[in-house]
Amino acid sequence: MVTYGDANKKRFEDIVKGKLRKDLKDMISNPHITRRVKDGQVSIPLPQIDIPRFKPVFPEDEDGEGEGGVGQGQGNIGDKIAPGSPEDGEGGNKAGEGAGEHSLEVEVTIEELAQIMKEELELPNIKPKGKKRIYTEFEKYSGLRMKGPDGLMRFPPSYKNALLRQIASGEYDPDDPIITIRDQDKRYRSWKTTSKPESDAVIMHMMDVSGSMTEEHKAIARQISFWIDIFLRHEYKNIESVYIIHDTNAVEVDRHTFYNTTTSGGTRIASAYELCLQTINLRYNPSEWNIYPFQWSDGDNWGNNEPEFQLLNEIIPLVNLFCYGQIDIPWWSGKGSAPSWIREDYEVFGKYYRDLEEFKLLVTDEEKIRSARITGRDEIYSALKEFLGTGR
Amino acid sequence: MKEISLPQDIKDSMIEVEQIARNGCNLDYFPVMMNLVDAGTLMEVASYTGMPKRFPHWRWGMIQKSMEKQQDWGLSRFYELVINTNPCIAYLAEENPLVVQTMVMAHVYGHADFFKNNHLFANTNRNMHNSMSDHAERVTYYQQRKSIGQAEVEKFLEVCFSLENLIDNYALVFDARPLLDDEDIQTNVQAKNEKSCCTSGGCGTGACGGCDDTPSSKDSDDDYRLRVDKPYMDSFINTPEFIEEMRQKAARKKEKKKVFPSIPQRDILRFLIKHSEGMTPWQKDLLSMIREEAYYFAPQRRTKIMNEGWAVYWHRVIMEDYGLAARDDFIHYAKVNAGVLAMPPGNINPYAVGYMLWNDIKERWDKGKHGKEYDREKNVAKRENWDTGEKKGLEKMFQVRESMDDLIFLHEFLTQEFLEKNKFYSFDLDQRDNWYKITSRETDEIRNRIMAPLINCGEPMIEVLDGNYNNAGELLLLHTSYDGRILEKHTRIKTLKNLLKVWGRPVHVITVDKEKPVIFSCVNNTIKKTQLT
Repeated sequence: MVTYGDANKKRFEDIVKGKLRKDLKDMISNPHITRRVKDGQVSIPLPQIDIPRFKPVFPEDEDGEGEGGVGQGQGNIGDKIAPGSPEDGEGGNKAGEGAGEHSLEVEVTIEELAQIMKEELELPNIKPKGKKRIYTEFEKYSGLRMKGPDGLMRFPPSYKNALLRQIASGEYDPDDPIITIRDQDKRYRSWKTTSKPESDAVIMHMMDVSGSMTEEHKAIARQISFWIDIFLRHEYKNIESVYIIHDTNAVEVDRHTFYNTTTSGGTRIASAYELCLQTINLRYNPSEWNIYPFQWSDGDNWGNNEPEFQLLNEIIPLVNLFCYGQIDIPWWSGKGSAPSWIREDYEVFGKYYRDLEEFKLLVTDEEKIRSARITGRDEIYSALKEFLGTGR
Repeated sequence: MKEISLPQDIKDSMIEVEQIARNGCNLDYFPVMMNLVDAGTLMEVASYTGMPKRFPHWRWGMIQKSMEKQQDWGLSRFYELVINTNPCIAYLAEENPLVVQTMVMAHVYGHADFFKNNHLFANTNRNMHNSMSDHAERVTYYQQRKSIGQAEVEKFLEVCFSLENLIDNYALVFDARPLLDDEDIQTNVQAKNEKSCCTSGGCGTGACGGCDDTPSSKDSDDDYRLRVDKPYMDSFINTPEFIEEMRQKAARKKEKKKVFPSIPQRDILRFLIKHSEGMTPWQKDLLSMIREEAYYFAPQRRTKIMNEGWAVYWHRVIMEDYGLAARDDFIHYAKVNAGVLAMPPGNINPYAVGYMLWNDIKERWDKGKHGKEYDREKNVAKRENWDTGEKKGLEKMFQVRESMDDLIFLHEFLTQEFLEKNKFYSFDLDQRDNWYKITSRETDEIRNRIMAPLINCGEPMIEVLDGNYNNAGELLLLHTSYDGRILEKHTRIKTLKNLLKVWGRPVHVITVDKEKPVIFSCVNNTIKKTQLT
């Protein structure tokens, strides 16, 4: 009998991937996506894949909330029976997506997502650097054998063998089925040792947390970091992350603090570079680690940037790639276009980016420095392409 | 697909259950074919709504995957599937223990009896499994044609799925093929109308299609005369000017009636297939397949509660009254049965509600708890202990299973007494503290809550008003919002675009938005909203 069951499933999966591919740009800038990762799976709402039909709803229920119903059981009027869906907010799992609540969600693994991202952004394979390739050996249970330690004995095949033997020899009595497993019936798990070249990477996030960095600045930085993380995790087995925040002084912090701290100080980027260099020298030997420093700032730096570039000269030879993301959200954003007189002033403020561009011309490993200006969520996509498009 | 021949123990208990169902319970059904299949196959068949074969489409894959996920999480389980065919085809899940298989088979005989005897199924195609595999072959054929290709077929089927609820759910007789001409239907309707009202003196309202023609054939002044009690008033009331005015009015009315279709059509798919200029022949063929399948499932949608309740009622009788459950692993039976009848808070379980109602009918007609005298009795204790020894419960049940659908069934038997006895309540979300709370135990409120979603099988009431709107061959639909419900925004936009693809010319729908009548137009793939005055 010919059926289409598996073909239908395969086709559905292909369609999901096709849609993801098409929507990747929107997805990359969608802030909700970062909360949807769990156990190596990303669940992505795909309402557009569902089949649309005319559907009657009460106007007040159009967002899918608060529909009542009928139940059965004890209780007086006003008694609570079940909690409503969680409120919107950071902690909420289904935070504020309105109609998304009932819509179809598909789950893809991070590997699949990274693969789609790689194909769609046309990212090259990363060539891990490091003189010393690390080989990890690992064991995989892949078969059965006749001898082995008791701890590895597998019961079902052993039992089956014993049963077969007893039936064949006529010892088996259906009314009194006692199966005795003898040594010759026993089967043990066997393993193979394989080795795989392995390289480790460390992502060093540096962010300016001075007063001029607003929540939106950080949200964008966080969003890009999320995608970089997904991509690099696909490329490297082991990834470590280092988070450094700075105003005029730099400290290493944990992830949560990294995204949730604001100070009122000024900005001295050199302090972060110092700490970064120090951490590399202390903990991440460049001959063993692939090092990816990412720096987020609004481009507003104190001084003439000379100490920064001196430090960069030291950092660049040690790392795979150095990425600088300047998040320039114009304060008039959302209020129409900028008045013409403000334009010049604004350029002066975010001048670190421009200086870095000039500095790039002077260094030998020009390819290793990538910089991008991000003026809004729409540019996350192109920034990612700029950062990861080098194959380093 | 993995099919397993029935093992001897299941076969034995099937024969036993069959005997009880036929002779003990007087159930009446087409021969039942039991198939034992593994869980994966059951899921595949379930994604095809129980059909052994359907045309290939990713939609079934999507359903299959989501069911697999639910099963993995332990949210739901399939025990059985049964379809309305002759012979009746049923699938049993292989991993169930014998006592559950027995129960499931008893359940299947309940469904089989319902399919054969309920009046709504009388005109269904009992050979649908073959029609469906015929559809599958046709779809595959179109997919393999070089001039069409898989992608095109798949895309068009998505459009068809999007429109598949636009059928007349209350059509009693469905002719899948050949489609009659609209003209044929009109003449039928006219012939009927002429017989029923026009011969008895003319209704004069023009409400029926036939009335206009009869007077116009012998157009005399008398037709436009107002009735006058006092003859001397006649020359004052029915002046020649007045008669002329009335004559013109009638002529205008007749002119106006020349819209097409002459009466609004609920069967929108039929209208599209018949009159659309935007479809190629293979597309029309696909759409008529989808229509045929949609009509096949309509009676099942209309009798979900009755049908499931009926099957549960009989599996309990067979298992418990005939002692089949007690013989074996009773705990297992009890557990599965409890799962089937569980009413999770906030959900209506058709199995449970249906079962309770059938039980209630049995009890009421066994004890004579119905009729004028019982209704007049206000004494609670007397009502409670009412027993006339009528013993007509079974008779009533068989009569009801033949003649009703869910709406009438609930309307008739969802009584105040029943709701109170079974402690039903309605609940709503309290916005203030985000908790669902019990809001009412009023009979009317609960009845409305249960029955409203069943009207027109939960689908919106939409009909074709005009197939030549704006005198430009545009399609005009009317959505009647009888309870204040509107068409949901996102699906409305997408469905209108799909209608445009099928109709090939602009499509309009009259509906309600923000409590005002509006018309949404889909022209060149953009949606425009116009207020109606």
